[in-house]
Amino acid sequence: MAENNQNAMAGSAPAKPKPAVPGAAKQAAPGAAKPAVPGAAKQAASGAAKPAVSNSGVYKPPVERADTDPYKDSRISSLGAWFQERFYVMLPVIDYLKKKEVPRHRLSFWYYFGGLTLFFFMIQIITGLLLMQYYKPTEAEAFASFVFIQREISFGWLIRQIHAWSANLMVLMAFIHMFSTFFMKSYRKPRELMWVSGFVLLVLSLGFGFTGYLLPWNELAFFATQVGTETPKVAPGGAFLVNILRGGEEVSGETLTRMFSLHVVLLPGLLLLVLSAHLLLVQVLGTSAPIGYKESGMIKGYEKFFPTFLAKDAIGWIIGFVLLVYLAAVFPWEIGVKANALNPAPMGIKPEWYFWAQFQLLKDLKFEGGELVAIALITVGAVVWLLVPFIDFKASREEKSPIFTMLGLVVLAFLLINTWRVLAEYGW
Amino acid sequence: MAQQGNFKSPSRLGALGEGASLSSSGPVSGGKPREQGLKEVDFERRSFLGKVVGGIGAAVAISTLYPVIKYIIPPVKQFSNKSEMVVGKAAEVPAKSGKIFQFNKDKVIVVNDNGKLTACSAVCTHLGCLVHWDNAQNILSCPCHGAKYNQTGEIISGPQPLPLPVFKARVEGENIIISKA
Repeated sequence: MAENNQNAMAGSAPAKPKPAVPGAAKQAAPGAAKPAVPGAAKQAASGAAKPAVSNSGVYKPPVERADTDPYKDSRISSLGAWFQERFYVMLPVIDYLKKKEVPRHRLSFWYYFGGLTLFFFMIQIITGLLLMQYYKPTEAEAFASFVFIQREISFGWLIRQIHAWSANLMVLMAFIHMFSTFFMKSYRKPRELMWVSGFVLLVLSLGFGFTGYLLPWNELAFFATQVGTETPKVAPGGAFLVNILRGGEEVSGETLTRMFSLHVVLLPGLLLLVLSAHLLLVQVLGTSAPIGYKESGMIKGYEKFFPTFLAKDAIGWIIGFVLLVYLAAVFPWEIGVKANALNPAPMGIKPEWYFWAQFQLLKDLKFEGGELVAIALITVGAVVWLLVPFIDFKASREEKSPIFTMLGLVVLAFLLINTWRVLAEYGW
Repeated sequence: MAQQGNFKSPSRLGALGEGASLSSSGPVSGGKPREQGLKEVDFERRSFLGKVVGGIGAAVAISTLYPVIKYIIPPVKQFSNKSEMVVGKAAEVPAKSGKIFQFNKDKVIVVNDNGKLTACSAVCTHLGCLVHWDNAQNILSCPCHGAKYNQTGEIISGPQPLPLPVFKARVEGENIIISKA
């Protein structure tokens, strides 16, 4: 029984014996991998050397599987013993963490994308700290220091390109992670707050992208920020908020200072808090499997999170790292020219790709008051999206919920089609 | 489904004699004492693989850390190396006073002693504080630890080990020009 949160399973789908587990293994290996077995139901596994018949009538013969327990032969090193003597209060916590398991099934490939988002974020922290050693966040020196980093500092070009590309990859992984958890209905009870904290993380990541974009202080950065902060003015109270964000009526050196402080102090602080909550919830609530998989025997097994799944996660991280360095070296971002507030906006100015869907919607609703409609639509859509775990009653009862699958497909289609339309019109 | 793990388990190899139970597989087979169970595990291949993976990992780690270290080390600041240069106006150093100017990589104090200009390094040879001209005592003095030099940089008293290196200063027109000694 891999579901860490026993309370959540009470009252939901009736506990069924795990099919095709050789029952004798439970008795033969006393320190076995799943000590968190709720008393009553799982003893049904005993005495089953016979094939278990699942609900769908599919015959699953007994398979001899290695009852892999990575902690079976582990011994404590002297350093570990030193800590254990002093922090024995933490031992139950560590034993609890050792229990966490990840189900393996045909969709468990999608489980890697959350970790990939975290990986690219860690790259951002490191490269961001490095860039901060030489970047000067004032109107007079921002562009000059930006050029200095890339021309004079050893590997400065590499750090900057990695930072720019990892930002994009992080947002991409976040979107994939969000949609994969949506379609697998991982937001359902008891994981509602994971969805909410995850959505907050997505919004913060988009905020990171927006605030960081201005820092090079080249033409692209300046005008993208100008266009991006122009739109909210039509909303009620929007002009005031834009004034706060811009540090004045116009985009200026004051805007640069505010964006820098947001990008480097406030947003990292908030994100680290919410991220800690999100990761804690993952450990406490465990990994969810799609509705009905456990009952129909589609779960091939459970592997430990520490160290097995983490090691497989690391493979994904290495592949991501290789992709990142390839993109950084072969498709570098431009240096551009220094921003000049008195220059006209360049032709074909557009925001970064993760804002293209909204950008296209704004262009579509060109009639009088259309901007406000677009803002309202996006806001209402975001709020509904955020509240999905609380309104999808069928999924919370562990029943298939096709209406919400359709909703997710519609949202995904809207984002993809509008993003593609911008690409088709403007090019890359 | 296919065998997922431990292809060398005794049950699969059909261990003779005792024959492990169907259920239990792994390096330590059920019912068998530990040493015999470990006989089937190929430690040489395992440790070789471990070393290869560790070696490649170390190579990747070093090639990732190398650019970061090189990046953090700041570039060396280039100084000019002129034999003489104009540093300021003569009016900046009135009589009975001294002023510090940057000359190539050095900070040089120019003292105007009743029309005669002298110049020496302003960096105290004790621990690097900058000295000032004390007109009342006619000395260059360092406020940090009480080092005292005369106008041409020789030691009067104090903890400093060496005299101040000297330079030449002259007035041309309304400019002060410092040159190497």
